[in-house]
Amino acid sequence: MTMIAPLVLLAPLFLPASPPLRCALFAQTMTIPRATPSTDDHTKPSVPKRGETQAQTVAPHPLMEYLADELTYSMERLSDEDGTKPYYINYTVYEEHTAALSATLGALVEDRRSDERNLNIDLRVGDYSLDNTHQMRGGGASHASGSGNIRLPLEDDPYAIKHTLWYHTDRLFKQNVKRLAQVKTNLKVKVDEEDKSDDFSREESHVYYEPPVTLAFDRKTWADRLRKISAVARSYPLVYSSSVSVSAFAGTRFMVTSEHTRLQTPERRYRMIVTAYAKADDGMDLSQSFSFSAAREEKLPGDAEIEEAFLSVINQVLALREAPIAEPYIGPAVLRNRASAVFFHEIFGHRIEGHRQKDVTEGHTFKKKIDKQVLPEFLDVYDDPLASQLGDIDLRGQYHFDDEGVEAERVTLVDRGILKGFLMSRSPVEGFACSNGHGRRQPGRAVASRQANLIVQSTNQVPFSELKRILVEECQRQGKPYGLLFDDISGGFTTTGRRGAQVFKVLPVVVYRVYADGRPDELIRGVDIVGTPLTCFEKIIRTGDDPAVFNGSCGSESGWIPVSAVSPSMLVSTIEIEKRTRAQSRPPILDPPIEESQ
Amino acid sequence: VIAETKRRLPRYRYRPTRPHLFLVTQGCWMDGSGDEPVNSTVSHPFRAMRGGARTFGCIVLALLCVFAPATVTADQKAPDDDVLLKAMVDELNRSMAELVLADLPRPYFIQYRASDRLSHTIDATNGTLLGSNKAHTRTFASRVRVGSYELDNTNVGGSGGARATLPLDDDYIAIRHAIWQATDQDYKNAVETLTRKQAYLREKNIEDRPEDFTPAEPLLVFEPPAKIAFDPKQWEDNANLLSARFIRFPDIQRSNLSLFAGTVNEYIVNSEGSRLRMADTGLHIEINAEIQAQEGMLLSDNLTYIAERMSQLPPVERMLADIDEMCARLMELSKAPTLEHYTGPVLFDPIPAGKVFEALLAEQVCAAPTPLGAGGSWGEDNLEKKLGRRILPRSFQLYDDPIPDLYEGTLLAGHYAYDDEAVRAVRVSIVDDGILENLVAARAPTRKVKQSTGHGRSAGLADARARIGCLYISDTDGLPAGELRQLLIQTAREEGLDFGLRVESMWPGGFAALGRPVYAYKVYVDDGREELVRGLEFLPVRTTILKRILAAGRERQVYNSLSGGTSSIVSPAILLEELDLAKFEEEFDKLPILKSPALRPSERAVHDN
Repeated sequence: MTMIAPLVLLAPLFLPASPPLRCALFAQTMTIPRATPSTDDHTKPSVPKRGETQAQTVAPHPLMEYLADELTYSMERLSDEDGTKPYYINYTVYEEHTAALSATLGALVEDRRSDERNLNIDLRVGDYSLDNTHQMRGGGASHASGSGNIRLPLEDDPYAIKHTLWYHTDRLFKQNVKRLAQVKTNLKVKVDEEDKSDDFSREESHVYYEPPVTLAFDRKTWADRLRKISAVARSYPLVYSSSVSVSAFAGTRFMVTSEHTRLQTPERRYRMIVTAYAKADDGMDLSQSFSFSAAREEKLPGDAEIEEAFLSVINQVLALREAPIAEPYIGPAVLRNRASAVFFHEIFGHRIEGHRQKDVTEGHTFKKKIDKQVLPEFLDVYDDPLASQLGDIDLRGQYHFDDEGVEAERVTLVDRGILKGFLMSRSPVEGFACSNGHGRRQPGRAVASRQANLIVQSTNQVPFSELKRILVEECQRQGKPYGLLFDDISGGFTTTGRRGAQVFKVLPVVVYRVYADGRPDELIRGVDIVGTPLTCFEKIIRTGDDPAVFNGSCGSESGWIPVSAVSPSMLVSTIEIEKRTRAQSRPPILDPPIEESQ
Repeated sequence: VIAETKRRLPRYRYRPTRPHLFLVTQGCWMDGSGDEPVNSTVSHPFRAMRGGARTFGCIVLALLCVFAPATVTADQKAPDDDVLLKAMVDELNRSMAELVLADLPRPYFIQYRASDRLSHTIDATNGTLLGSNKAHTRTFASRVRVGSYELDNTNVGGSGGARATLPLDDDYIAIRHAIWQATDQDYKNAVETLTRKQAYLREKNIEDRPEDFTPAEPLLVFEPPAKIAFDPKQWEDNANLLSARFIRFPDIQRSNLSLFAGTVNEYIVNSEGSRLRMADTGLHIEINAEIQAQEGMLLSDNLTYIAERMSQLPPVERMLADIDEMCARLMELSKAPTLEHYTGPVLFDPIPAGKVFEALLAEQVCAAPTPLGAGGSWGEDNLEKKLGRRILPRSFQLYDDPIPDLYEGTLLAGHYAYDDEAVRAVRVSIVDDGILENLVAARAPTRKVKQSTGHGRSAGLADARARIGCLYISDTDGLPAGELRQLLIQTAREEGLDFGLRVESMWPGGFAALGRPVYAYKVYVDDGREELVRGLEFLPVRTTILKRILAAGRERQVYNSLSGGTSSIVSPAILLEELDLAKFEEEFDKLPILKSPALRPSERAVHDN
């Protein structure tokens, strides 16, 4: 596995052939500015009231009416010969405007713009307790597939829109009637299920409109900015590839359901990423990236700040070239805030997703642990989609309504170390009958319960410098010559399935040895953290007082979605690292053309 | 006029008009100034080969016909303002001179290809746009060969060259940087592959292994940048207008239109000294319609318009009339009876006959070396072993000639002047009086075919292999259409059948498989009347059935194929003595439960405004 593109590297991590799914989280890291001119406590996420910034009197877009008309028509008249009817239909249209530009060495390499509308249909036959989405055991197609993305006209033409809705609704209905019959047979031939929860929870309906958004993106100005900043890398011949990119997203989700939910919700996301890639003389691929996320274009950094970040990733990969290779090691370590946030997202977050507690192919790490101690008692963990900022940093996992139209809730997952809940979509599990607004998806995928903004808080905090001092003490106590400081993590993945080993792996890129004898810290390269989830939580000794945000994209069975994870730095008594498998190809034979031809 | 338009189009079999397919040129995009005739000159320096006196392969195919007259004029002098070309040449020269790992062989040959494409795609349905997108891409492929022409790192598994995405700006350093990295990676793979291949050859006893590559004369061709007078706004309107036509036909359950317009400048440079910049343009409109028969069978048809210049497209009014006709015929087809089984003579009209030849001959007349380790079944249907034997009736002639761009005024999508291995295309006589005389070939020799005929082609930037360009089929005893039909009736009668079968159109088949007929007719023996049938598909056939063609027509038509690389087949109608067809077994959904919006009074009212 090479590390050329850390942000997309592990995208296809979940293999279609093996249902136990893994997740991969990739990286937008961001430090919290220390001096935030805010009167608020910047270590606590801020939660705006819904609609705070928008008048609630917005009129629905005409599309809402077309969707509602066709939905009503379908609910009234869809029925097969024996009277089977849909009991639930959800039409969601994702209108998405995206622009992406990327430059390398002063030249534009990518220039994309797309505008599209995709229809997703969730049509259920049967009833809330048993419907066509029920998991089938044994054999292929254990999970129901949704409608996928159906392209819908960009213009508000009622005839063309209704025609598309009609065509696909009718076909999906027939397909789902067939699947329900298969589900019923499957239930009869298999042993009783462990978890007899319903297939779909009953939830309140909501009517809420905000104005749709469009994307105004000045591609020419941006292209020139990226060219200028990316040209900096021309002076670094040992950086074999590099990029400066920006992407802008403005989308509106239109949702109409047979339970009378009507939602029209906009979203904007901007992101800039700088990357650099080099090779050590022994062939090891070294890459580093840094990103900025914001909910508004104005909040993206200026040229000077981006250039500084770009130079910093360049210098990091160059420093890594000189760094010694990590040796396998077991001992104490500090995970710096953002690194710790990734760690929690992967190792804890994915295992408290509700649907995994029911899926018979899953590992059920936490299924029987409700009201039991799972973390040290000084830790609280919650997931709050309503939180929009930490300090001045926008949280990428923010939303008011999830992709099933359920109002988002702050969910207490761990209270003083005790497990209290799961992230729930409308797929109930034993003991949890309702959604808490965490049903999410990438357009085109089936909804699953997912993380939004995972926030770890501690009551056992010390300043970071103190945490490092305790690390040295811990080394001395354990008789280790050094401890490790994980300064940055590019992402990670975890396996939650029953068939695979219950393990995780995070991919740290900046790791230091912190010596017990007081020598200066030493950068090392080629580190992978490995471990099993339950044991590593017991080993958290203390935390910093420095919560920071990791803004990223998380990929799993319901696709790629924006998320945040927030955590303070964390000291663990034991962590295990292994040597990364390294690329065997040598550095380039010829010098880069940069030098000679100028 | 140049432009091997469709040559590029077919890259993706089913959706040739998706974005990032085709693309750009420098400047001059959609200037609205009309199609400008482009002048260029060909020059052909025949410089001394690098490495000197290599004898060309043993058998130089005898019947390589004349070089086609130069339809292209190009400048022999490389334009000095082409940054991409300069970056490619400079990095190529540096790599040939300096790229080597200690104790390992140097490259003996390097070829670079780059494709600079600009495209616009428009999708529409029922009178409204689904999308309208412009794209610009520059892709690059490097092919480093180490060893020698006799034995190198190719013709073995896992030897694919390296790809890169190039900067869109004409930035010399940034472009070279990307080429440098791809070449480095390619060279390292090449030396490893060669070592692996040599080890394999030491272990196995392989008799009569052909050489891996043949040298070629260097070519210098610089065509002016491609241009096309495409107005996106106008075509968005046209797409709406055309796709809205289906609203008149409520029985058509689904329809869409996709349009692709693009230009490409394709670059090839190699260490033999070839420098080519070829310009190409393409316009492609596809209109699909789908209907369901009463018991659920899905039936579909499509209209395809292919052109290199706007002026080659029919007027929109004509397209509207074509849509009307397609819909009317689909509705008629949906009500036609099905037929369980048929064995007997089949008459193929010229276009479906072209598809028969595509399925049974297009791949098979291409010389293809067997990759090492590929085993005995590789290329089983390839006709190389039948060279000198009869494969068609004695009155049949068949040749491939990529040079002309038109056949009786119809565009030949498969035309081109130079192949993807920098070899000038030549006309190849393949079948003479029914006897297989030659195969079309790329630069990798086979046991019997030792010289490229300029047919080394590829989809995208993949390695080139031999493919047909424009295949011409004729029967010196060809009959007028009426007599051919009479012969069908007579043959059916002799077989004791009530009717024979005439196939008017069919979907393209796969490799060595005939497609499903779209429109097929029973032709009754008693009074010659025709009756539409549906739901039939051909049972498997072999190339040998071509010897049993009873007769062919006199008139020929062009079938432009977009599957896996553009090609054209110019074919007469053919009558085959006996084929088997059966009703296809497929589970279809029942008819829609809900009324289409087109059939609901309230929606009609809204729409009729």
